[in-house]
Amino acid sequence: MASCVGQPISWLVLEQYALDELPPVRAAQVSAHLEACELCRNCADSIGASRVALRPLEVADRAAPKRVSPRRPWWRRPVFAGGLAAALVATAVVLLWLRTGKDGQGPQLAQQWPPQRLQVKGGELALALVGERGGVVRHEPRSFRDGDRFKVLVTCPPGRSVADVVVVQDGKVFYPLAAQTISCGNRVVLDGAFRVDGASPITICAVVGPPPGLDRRALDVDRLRRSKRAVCQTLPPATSKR
Amino acid sequence: MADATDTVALYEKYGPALVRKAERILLCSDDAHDVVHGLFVDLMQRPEKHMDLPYLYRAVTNRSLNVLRDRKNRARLLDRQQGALRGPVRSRIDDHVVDLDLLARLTELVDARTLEVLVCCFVDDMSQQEAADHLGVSRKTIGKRLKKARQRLQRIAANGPEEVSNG
Repeated sequence: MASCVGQPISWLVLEQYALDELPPVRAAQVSAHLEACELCRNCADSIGASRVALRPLEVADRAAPKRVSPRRPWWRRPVFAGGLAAALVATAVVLLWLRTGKDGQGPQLAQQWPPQRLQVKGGELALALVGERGGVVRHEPRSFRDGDRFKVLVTCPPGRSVADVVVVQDGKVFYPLAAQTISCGNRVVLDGAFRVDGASPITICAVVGPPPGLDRRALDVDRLRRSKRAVCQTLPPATSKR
Repeated sequence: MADATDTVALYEKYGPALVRKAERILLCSDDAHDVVHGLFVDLMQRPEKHMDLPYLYRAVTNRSLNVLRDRKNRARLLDRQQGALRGPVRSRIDDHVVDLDLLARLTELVDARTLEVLVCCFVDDMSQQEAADHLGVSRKTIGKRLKKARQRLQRIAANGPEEVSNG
């Protein structure tokens, strides 16, 4: 292999040269060196020939930079205030639970689905849907019609995880896609798509966690509602006629 | 201060150059993408004022070396390294090619700043003066750190790989 005719042009300068970001004088020096040096020219050519497919970078909800809070007294710090709020919420839930029990219907859990986006260890877990109706693709659909087709995108902390999609309608649980191992990142597109129908609202959840993933046999609606690894979106049937 | 949209534009502009740079250190495309993606995800939340290519280059060096410092990562990278990602070797330190194997051995023998100088001079192929400008230190400091690295390399050469007991 040939050696450089002088001091090699650093990779940083070669990248700046390729991006046309060097001052004219320096760019001329680099051009002259590349004319004379086969080794550096090969490096420069490799930059031009390289095709790097970047992972998507999500803009939503990240626009606001973190603010640095001034030092607060201990009773106003988030940990204490959060703990207090959690205790109050827990008390309210227990009271509501007991009261519901007295009505003769038995204690019931709050009928809430996991959010569409939540913070988990290592980052964020989020669900995004892409719908297709009559050839028209809609990002973040708010409703569905009979025959609409959906794809699921998940955002999860880096690493390998198993993702499973669960659809709940009228209390029935469906698994429209095969469970799949994914390399987590921003808006990872799960393989496959599925159609929905019916006149009742549907809840679409992505359950993302470490292998071996979701135990479908043990899953029921209550367990899904309580899951810390699920993100869900509920879509009502579309009412307007087209 | 750059906002999130600016950061995305920078990612699209400089991302490929930074991935190539991380690949030369880590010799693993997936990890290189992780490093660059992670950097920009953090920058979206805490944008910096002057995010030009040299600044980002340095950030990628430090993050890549952080990946190497983790013993499990090191073993995994050494096991799966894709040598072609290193690119042509244009500079050597005392006839040694600074590649993943050598960086992995030196990780626990030299400090972070010395490793950074090694990457600048022998992976990124900067001159000592260019490395000094890039890192914001004097050329004399670069010389001192390289001297320290050379001493460690001599020890490795004399004692063999056992020099790095935990590597």
